[in-house]
This record gives sequence, C-alpha cells and structure tokens, in this order.
Amino acid sequence: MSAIVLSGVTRIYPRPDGSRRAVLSGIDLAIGEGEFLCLLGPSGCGKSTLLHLLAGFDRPDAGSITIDALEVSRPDPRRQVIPQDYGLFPWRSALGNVLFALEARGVRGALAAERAHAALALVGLSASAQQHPHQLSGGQRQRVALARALVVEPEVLLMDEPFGALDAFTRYRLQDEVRRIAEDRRMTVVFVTHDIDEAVYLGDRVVMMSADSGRIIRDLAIRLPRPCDRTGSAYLAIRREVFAAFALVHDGQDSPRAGGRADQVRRAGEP
Amino acid sequence: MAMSMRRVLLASTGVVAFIAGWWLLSLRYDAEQLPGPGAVAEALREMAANGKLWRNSGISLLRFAGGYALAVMLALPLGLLLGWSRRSLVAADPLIQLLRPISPIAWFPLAVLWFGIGNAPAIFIITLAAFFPVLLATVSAVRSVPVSYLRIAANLGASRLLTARAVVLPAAFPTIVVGLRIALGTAWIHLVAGEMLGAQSGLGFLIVDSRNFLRTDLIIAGMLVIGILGLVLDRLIGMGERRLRAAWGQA
Ligand SMILES: Nc1ncnc2c1ncn2[C@@H]1O[C@H](COP(=O)(O)OP(=O)(O)O)[C@@H](O)[C@H]1O
Ligand SMILES: [Mg+2]
Repeated sequence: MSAIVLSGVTRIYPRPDGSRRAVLSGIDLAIGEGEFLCLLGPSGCGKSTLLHLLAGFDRPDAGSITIDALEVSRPDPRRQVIPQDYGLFPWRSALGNVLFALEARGVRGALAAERAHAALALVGLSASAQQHPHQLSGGQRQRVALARALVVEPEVLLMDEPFGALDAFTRYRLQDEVRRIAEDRRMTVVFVTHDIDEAVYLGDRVVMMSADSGRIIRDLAIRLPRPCDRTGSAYLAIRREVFAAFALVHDGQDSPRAGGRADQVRRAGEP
Repeated sequence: MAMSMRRVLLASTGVVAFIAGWWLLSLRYDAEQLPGPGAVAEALREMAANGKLWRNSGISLLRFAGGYALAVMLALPLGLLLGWSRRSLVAADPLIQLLRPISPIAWFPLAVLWFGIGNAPAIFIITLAAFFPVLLATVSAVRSVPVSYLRIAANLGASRLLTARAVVLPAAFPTIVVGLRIALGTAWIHLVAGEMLGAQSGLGFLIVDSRNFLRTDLIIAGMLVIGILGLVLDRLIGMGERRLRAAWGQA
C-alpha cells in the first residue's frame, strides 16, 4: 500500500554567500509499509528538507522518491504532513480546523461534523472543540493538528519535530498516543526529531543523519517490546548505541566519530 | 476601560497647551483674522442651533461612506487577484505605480467635467483617495500569507477557490484591515478638499462659504468638526480592528 523508496535523493540550496550546498546528498532509503521510522539528527542536518520532499512540497535536484512505484511529484491527501509550527488556522476553532480538512476533501454537512468530532475525540480534545488555537496549550494545539491530519485517513503521516516545543509530561503522553494511533490505523509514519530518547522510544527504526554531510550515517532497527520501558536495560543499551553513533559517548574505548563505522551499519528493511 | 486620572491629564496636555497658545495669540489679532476659542465655541453653538452643523456633517458622512465603500468594493477583489497571481501583478504594477502619485485633487477638473457639480465628484475623489491604500495593503497582505497555511491547504487537496476563500482571505484579513484604516484617514482628508472645490453642501463647502462671508469663526468651527469626525471615525475602525485581531487570535 505505501512503501516509500528514496534513491539518490539530493537537494541543493544556495548558501548566503552564493555557493551551493547539498543539504541532502544521495540519500537511499526504503521505508516499509506500516513502519514507524524516526529520522534523527541535529538541527540543520536536513530533516525538514527531506520531509518536504516526501510530502511533495519540494522536488529533489537529483534522485527520485516513489511511493508504491509512483513518483512523488506533488502533495497528496494520502500523505499528511504535520508541520513543526502545527500550521493551525488561528481564525478557526479546533473543530473548524478539522472541518477545513474535510471541506477540502469535499465532505460536508452532518457527515463532516460527525467525522470531525470523532477525530477530536480520538486525540482527546472533544471538550475543547470550540476553542481557538490561541486559547489552547501547546499540547492541545499539537492534538488539533493531529486530528486534522487523521480525519482524512492518510496512509502516511509525516511529522516534523511535533513534540519539540512541549514539556516532558505532555510529550511522553503524546508519544504513546501517536504510537497507538499509528498501530491501530496501520499508518506508515516518518517522525522527524532531534531528541535521541524520543527516537529510540518511538521508532521501529531510527535513521540518523549527521550535521553537515547530508547523508544517513546509521540506520538502526529497534526491536523492543511495546510499549517499551524507558528505564529498562534493553532500551538503555540501544540509547547508548545511538549516542555512540553521534560520538556523544566519552569512555575512551567506544567513541567512534559520526559516520566512522560504516562497516557496522545495519540496514534495517533490507535482506 | 478604566483610565487613570494621570493618564487623562497627560493625554490632554497637547490640546490644553494648543488652546492656551491659540487664546494668547488671538488677543493680539482682531476677530476676523484669528477669533479666540470662545468665539469659535460660540460659532459652533450657532451652527448647531440653526442646523447647519448637522446637515452638512450628515451630507459629508454620507458621501464619505459611499465613496469609501465603493473604493473597498473595487480595491479588495482586485488586490486579492493581484496578490494571488504573480503574473497579474507583473502586468498591473507599472500602471498602478503610474496612477498612484497623481493626487486625487488633480482629478478634480475631470471629475466636474464628467459628473457635474454635486455629490458625484466628491464621491469620485474619495473613492480615488481610498482605492490605492486598500489595493496595496490587500496585495501585500495576500503575498505575505504564511506559506505553511498554503501547504496545509495543498496537502489536503483544497481547490483554488476554497484556498482563496477559506485560507488566503482570512489569513490576509488582519493586514488588510490596517490598510482599510489608513485609507479611511486619507479618504477623509480628501473628502473636504472635494467639497471645497465643487459641492454646494457638506463640511468642505461650509468652510468655503464661511470664507465668502468673512466668518473666520465659522471657518475654524468647521475645521474643528472635520477634525473631530476624523478622530471618531479612526477610533471606530481602530476598535473594529482590535476586535478582529482578538477573534483572529492575535494580540
Ligand atoms: N529554502 C532554503 N534555502 C536555502 N537554504 C535552506 C532552505 N531551507 C533549508 N535550508 C538550509 O538547509 C539546511 C537544512 O535545513 P532543514 O532541513 O530545515 O534542517 P533540520 O530540519 O534538520 O533542522 C539548513 O542549513 C538550512 O539553513
Ligand atoms: Mg526542521
């Protein structure tokens, strides 16, 4: 249904001084149907750029992106993006924002109202349906954005640092909910984050990008029992592995430089 | 809204100083050149009593409302189009920049030639004066609609019409309202000019007519009324603007 294949994806942006920089350079990646993939890397490494390419907001300068063998050339309601700033319309209530999505899909009237309320209920926001975004907390806004995306029943959900601005308690709760909804609906999720713990906790797979290379430095399959225990030893071992990949471990023996251990890169999703 | 006494005092400083200075100056000149505040207040009372004040203000306000509404009805859709379509803006921009510097007053001889004397030329001038501020504000408001809103609409597969109506227009509206407010002030200024040049009624006419009878006190009274009405109009649209911002979720 929704296997995504990137091959040789390159995106070049001009630097302020006029020179050109490959923000993404020859990215190869196969995302399986129903996979929950976390794209992890420091700020500025090109995560949003990659997500915009997946969404069809932008086209690669070289390489191709296909979904079920069809070239991604423009946005498609079956692939819903939740932008970093949520992109809620401030002049519409929570319900109004969700209704807009249905209106865009040509769903109106009682059916639209029913589906919008169901989507808000799914994210636990029924009580705030009439509130406007400025009256909602950051976590609630994120939920509205989620409801707006889910109401059109996408096959792929593309989330850009969705919980970056939230406090830890809200973040943990939303992580669990997103994971649950994605499993229930068998959605393919690409979840961009710069938070190592979040990536390890959420992802079936963590794809890591380094700061300047525009490449994937590590692709790690995560096989933890769900819901996973944030304090368990299996979780902590994987977490440590990710820290190591970004050369954030300083114990003298196991501190490879980022990208320096290509021999040990495990490619999840490949035989 | 509770305003502290100190604030009221501070806010009236300019007005009080102005009246005091005016009064001092008026002592040195004769009343035909510069009547004092007392004489002007008396003139205002006279105009209010004989109905001139209400009649001429009413006529001016009606003309103003007509011209302003016409300008908004023309400039708003055109501005939406020009802001939305890059090509149409490229096509129209040189013409706009050519016409814009021509003062509405310069159109007056033509206006009288085309529409005769009366309401029409004054309304024409007001429309012209309000048209460009509304047009330019609308164009720039539409062009600065956040790209993230447009992406949301595109991602959901919204039609161009839905995007224009339900995304671009409401997103641009708070900025457009700023343009509406600027246009209001500009148009009000030109209303009086229009009426001074070719009308037989209205506040502008009142001033010209008073000059013909050397009633300096009435001239200044008329000017005061123009100023006060302009202030009231600005405050009204300012209130509307704040309400709108609140409804739009802006501070
Ligand atoms: N439209 C653009 N024009 C020029 N440079 C851009 C543009 N968009 C992003 N960049 C640059 O590309 C790099 C990657 O950006 P981005 O994908 O937003 O990173 P991330 O989401 O990982 O923080 C950054 O250095 C950014 O400055
Ligand atoms: Mg980003």
